[in-house]
Parts: sequence; structure tokens; C-alpha cells
Amino acid sequence: MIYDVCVVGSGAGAGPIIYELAKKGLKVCVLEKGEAYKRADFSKDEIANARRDIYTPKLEEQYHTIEEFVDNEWTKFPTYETGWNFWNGSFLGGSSNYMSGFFYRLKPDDFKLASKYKQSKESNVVDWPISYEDMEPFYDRTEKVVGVSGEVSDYKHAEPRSSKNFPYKALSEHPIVKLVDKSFSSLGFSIVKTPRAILSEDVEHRSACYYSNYCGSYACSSGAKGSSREALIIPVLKTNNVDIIANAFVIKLNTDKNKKIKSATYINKNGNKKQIEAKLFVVAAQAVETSRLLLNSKDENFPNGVANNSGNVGKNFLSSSGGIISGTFDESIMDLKELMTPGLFVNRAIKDFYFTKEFKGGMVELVFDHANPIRRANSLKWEGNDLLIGKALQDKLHQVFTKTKTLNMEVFADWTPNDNSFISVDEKYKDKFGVPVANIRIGTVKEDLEVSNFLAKKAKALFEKMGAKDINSNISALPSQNLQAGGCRFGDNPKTSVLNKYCQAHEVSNLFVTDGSFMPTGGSVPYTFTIYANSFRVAEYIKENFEKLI
Amino acid sequence: MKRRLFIKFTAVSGLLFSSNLSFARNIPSDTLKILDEVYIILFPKTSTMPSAKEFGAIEFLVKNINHKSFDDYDKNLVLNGAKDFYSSFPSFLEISKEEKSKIIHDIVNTNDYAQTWLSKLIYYGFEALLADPIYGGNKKQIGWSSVNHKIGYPRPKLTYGLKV
Repeated sequence: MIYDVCVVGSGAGAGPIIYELAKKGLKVCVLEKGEAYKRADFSKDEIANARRDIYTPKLEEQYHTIEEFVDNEWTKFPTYETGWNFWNGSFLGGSSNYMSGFFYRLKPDDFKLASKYKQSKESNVVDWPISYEDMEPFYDRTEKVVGVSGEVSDYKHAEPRSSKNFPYKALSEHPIVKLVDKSFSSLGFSIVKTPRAILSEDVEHRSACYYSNYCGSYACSSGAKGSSREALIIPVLKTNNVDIIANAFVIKLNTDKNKKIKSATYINKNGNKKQIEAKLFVVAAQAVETSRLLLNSKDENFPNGVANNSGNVGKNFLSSSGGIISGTFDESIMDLKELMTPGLFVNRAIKDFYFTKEFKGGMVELVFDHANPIRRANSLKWEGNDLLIGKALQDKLHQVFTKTKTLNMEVFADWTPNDNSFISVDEKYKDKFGVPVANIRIGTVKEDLEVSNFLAKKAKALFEKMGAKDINSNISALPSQNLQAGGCRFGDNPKTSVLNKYCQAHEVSNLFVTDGSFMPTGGSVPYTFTIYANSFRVAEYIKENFEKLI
Repeated sequence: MKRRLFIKFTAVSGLLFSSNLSFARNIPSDTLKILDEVYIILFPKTSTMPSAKEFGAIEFLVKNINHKSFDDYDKNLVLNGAKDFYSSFPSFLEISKEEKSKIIHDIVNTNDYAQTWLSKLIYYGFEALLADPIYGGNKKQIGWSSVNHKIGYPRPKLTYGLKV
């Protein structure tokens, strides 16, 4: 069978394509690297979700290399040695199953940073080939189809919206927000309430959030979270236009004499190679794996990897600069019973410094430490360089768990694309299937760290105003493994970009890339919302032009 | 990590090992006895917290250490550390409770290998204390209740994310 469309991946970049094209009546095949779990398979099991490689490949078998500048040279460190895991949910719905779902749009100036702000001399920042106005209808569509709950906040940098309100009322908030809001006001910060891709009411097959206390890093057990699986794939299964092939690890895209993709080669659960043919291919395997697939797809048409005769695939990888400031709260600050209320959201952010007059700033999101008690306990076993044991360990465990709660402020600053931030493949490093793994060089520019430190000062000031204890700052230039973008940036010039403004490969007319790879810059927010919105935008283009594209 | 043997202490005769651990066929019995005794020192019963024996530190380890998802490095460290510790302190199982405790307290922050090994044992002790009881520890949810942890629902029906 030759499918109309073959989609590689099933996360946020894939979901809107699957949803829109299946509804149009096209026959869509989805190749998902991992299992096709159902909602009933998920639980709040910390061992399976957070302590073992269950929903991601075992690192000894499938890994990445992280290339860092050490002792004056770039050195590759395999992640099976360091434990720094760059897989983010290898199963139906991808990492959208695991998100915390705070959904901020990019702002109009995020689309034109090169024109608006002075850049570091190492910067490869370019303006986007589209504007906020081009993307806005699709942010709006994402809010309605995926489902976003919240209250629109009015503040200096708020972006224009075509819909006045979010489609669903805000989720319930933790009592600590009274203290947060009071402190925001004292410091002159605008109160910005966090919109979330989590339903606050029942909608069709999805039930409202039940405040499980285990949200980020866990797949949702009510369907409230707007994962690609729940919000976009399940609703179109009834069209009978979607075939999902689980445990299908795509290792190569094969081209024909017309330099179009003819088929995808994948390895199935039994380790056998299989092929799928389709008229049009959409790759959305998350940025790192998407560049890896393109770079590994070498043939006579594309000796450096498919769509890479320009040499741009893998270049200008993006993550998020920043880090976390944490503060401890106890009954000297607020009523203990209220403080210990589980599950409710803080839903506040500092966004007054998203732009400054002098430089592009960023934002700070307030979020309680994830519930995971094993991780929390393990963070308590040290006292300086000494390992606590016996009664001292037991007493500390009891005291911290029963009397305190940790609030985090997550700092998000732009990651400046530069020549030392890219994805590559290296024949010396292969996975258990013999396929070269992705190497991620993680070079940054010093200005990014300066912005993060600037934002961290604002976060610290807020903690001090709130009366938090043990304020700890962990700001660094290292990437967040769950925030990946770039590598196949879009643009009008085929010499400097991989994709055109519709995320169609300049060099391969029936190939689209719809995960975060297309982004020339990522903004100072998590990427998921923009990936969803862009994928809806591309889906509309494919829908309207399908016959011309194949 | 460069391996170094533990600092030797003078052996003193004492109590006999008394736990019933005949269910553990996947770990040598001497290794298991050492781990059991060390866990009692790492996690003693207090006025607020259960002992390692009460929450099932050893039962958890026996049930899970051979699972394919258990980290190979950790497994080797846990088991080889116990063997090396025993060869450094061959009379450990016979000495008094106080003497055992003194040995562990003396080496924990003075010997790199000991600290690395004990740190790993504490980590898996936390898993035994706070993972779902389906994994063999946290007996009758004693770990969760001791620290007032609010359980997340649904709890797992099967271990290691197996499909229901």
C-alpha cells in the first residue's frame, strides 16, 4: 500500500498533521518509535516514570553524545556514561505526554530578534520568514482544539489575541498564590497567570484535571492534559484513515530519481527492517532525532544526508538557557495545612522582563517541586560533603517532608544560535542497531548566561519578599534536555536554511519537518505551544495544496 | 572510580545473624547478610520513621536488582561493595550492634569507596521506602505514611510500566 502521508513521530509536531489530514480524508501512516500505550496503562509510579528507562530507550543500547568544550577542545561524552538523558518520552504522543503544559505564545518581536536587538558577535540569529500575525490564527486554533485553560493577563508585553479569552476557565490555584501576588505587587511586578494545556472541564472523551499531584513527567490519567495522543490522535482514529505502527524506529528516508522521498525504512520490534511507501512525508521526531534521521539518510542524491546538499541540516540547534532558583517554605511563613495542599497549580510567572530596552530578556515560571518522593529524599542525604546516615538521616527526612515545601522558579532565556550549537552524526558512535547516534554540541554565547543571571536576580528578590528560606540558585549555560529546537531552520534562502516558510524542504518537495526543528530562534518560553501552532499552520498548507505537492 | 578496599578494623565477636532471608536466591547469602545488617544502621527505627527491616529494604533489593532496567553499574557497586566490605571486616556479622554502627560511622565520610557504596545503598533504601509497595518495599505504605506523602492515583497495577 502507498499511503498519502507518512508521519515520523507522534508528538506535538506530528499531532496536528495527523489530525487535520486524516479528517480531510487522506490515508495517514504514523511511525512511532515506542509503544502505543492507552490511558489505562498509565499510573503515578515513580519507579517506572522517573527512576528507570521504561518509557525511553535504555541508554546503554540507544544514546546520544554530548559535545562539550573541555580542556580547550570539543569532546564527545556518551550519555550512557554520564546519565544525561536526552530522550523525552518514546511512545505514542511523544514528550507532549510529559509536559507540565504551561502554554505561552511567542510575542511579535520574537519573530524579528535580529532586526530588533543587538546580537552577540557569535550569534547566528535571523528573523523568522513569517510574522506573529501569520502564526496567531494557529495559536488560537491550538487553544481550542488541544484545549487551554486560563485567564488572560494584561501586562506590558502581552501579545495581541484574536479570541478575548481562553476557551476553558482557569485551573484551581494553590493557596500560596495569595502570598505570591502580594509579593509581586510589592515589587511592582505584573501578575501574569499561567495558561495551561490542561482541561478544567470534561470535553468529549477527556475528563477534567483531577489535580493528581503528579503532572509533569507523568502521562495523564484523565486525558485532561493536551498531549498529542489525547487531543489529536485519539479523536481521528474513528475516521479509519490513520494506521499507527508502534515500535517502528525509522532509520532512513529513501529518495527516487526525482529527488523525492519514496519510502521510509524502519526497524520493528523484532529487529527486522521494513519499508513504508507514501506520497508525502512529514518528519517530527523531536529536533535532535529529526536532524539525526536526515543526516543518516544518505544516498546518491544526497551524499551528506537528505535535504542537506546545502550543509544546513543540524545547524543552529536551540535549547533554553536558564536554570532553577528554589526556596523553602514552612509554617513560619504560612499555615502548614494550606502550604501542604497537594496538586493545585501555582500558575504565576514573572514576565515584565521578557524584553528590556537594552537586550532581549526572558521569563520566570513559578512551580512547586514535582511530587516524586524518591528524588526528593535522595536530595537530602548530603550535608555539605558528608553523607548522612542513621538517625540524622531519618530525622532530616521526616522534618523536610512533613514541615516544608519547595517552590521553584524556572528561568527561561533565549538560546542564541551559534556555530558551536548543532546536531551531527559520527560513524564512531552507533546504537545497538548499528545506526550512528546523534551528537549534540552545546556551545553557548556568554550573553545568554548573563540574561539568565539577570532574571535569577528578579526571582531571588521575589523569594526574599515572600520570606522563603534556603534560597538556592542553579543557573547555568547547559541545555535543558526536554527543550529541543532548531537544526532544520526555515527561511526564504535555500543556501542558509533547510525548510521554506511552510516547513517544506527546499531540496525535497514531498518532505516536511514539523517539530521544533524549523525554529530559527526559540523565544524565552517552552516550545510546545509554538510547535503545535506551527504544525496546524503547515497542516493547512498541505491540505490546500496536497495534489500539487505530491 | 578507582577502587580501594575499606579500612580494616579489629574484629570483635558478637551477635549472630538472625534474619530469615532464604527467599533471596539471586544474591549470595553472605552478601545479603551484610546488606541487611548495614541497612539497619543506615535506616534505624526512630520515633517518626520506620527501620529498614520494617519498610523492606532488603526485600525490595532482592525483588528488583535483577530487573533489566536496574542500572548495571549500580548493581555491581551494591553487590561488590558488600563483598569488599566483608573482606575488609570479616567478623562484621559477629560483632555487637554498637560496634557495627561504629564501623559504618567511621568509614562513611573518611573512605571514598565506602561513601560511594553507602550512598548507593541509601538511594535504593529510599526507593524501598517510597516506591509503590508493588515493588516489594514500603510495606503497608509505611514509608509514605511516615512522611505524610500524598499518594498519586491511579497506583500501578503492574510493575515497570507493563501494559495493563
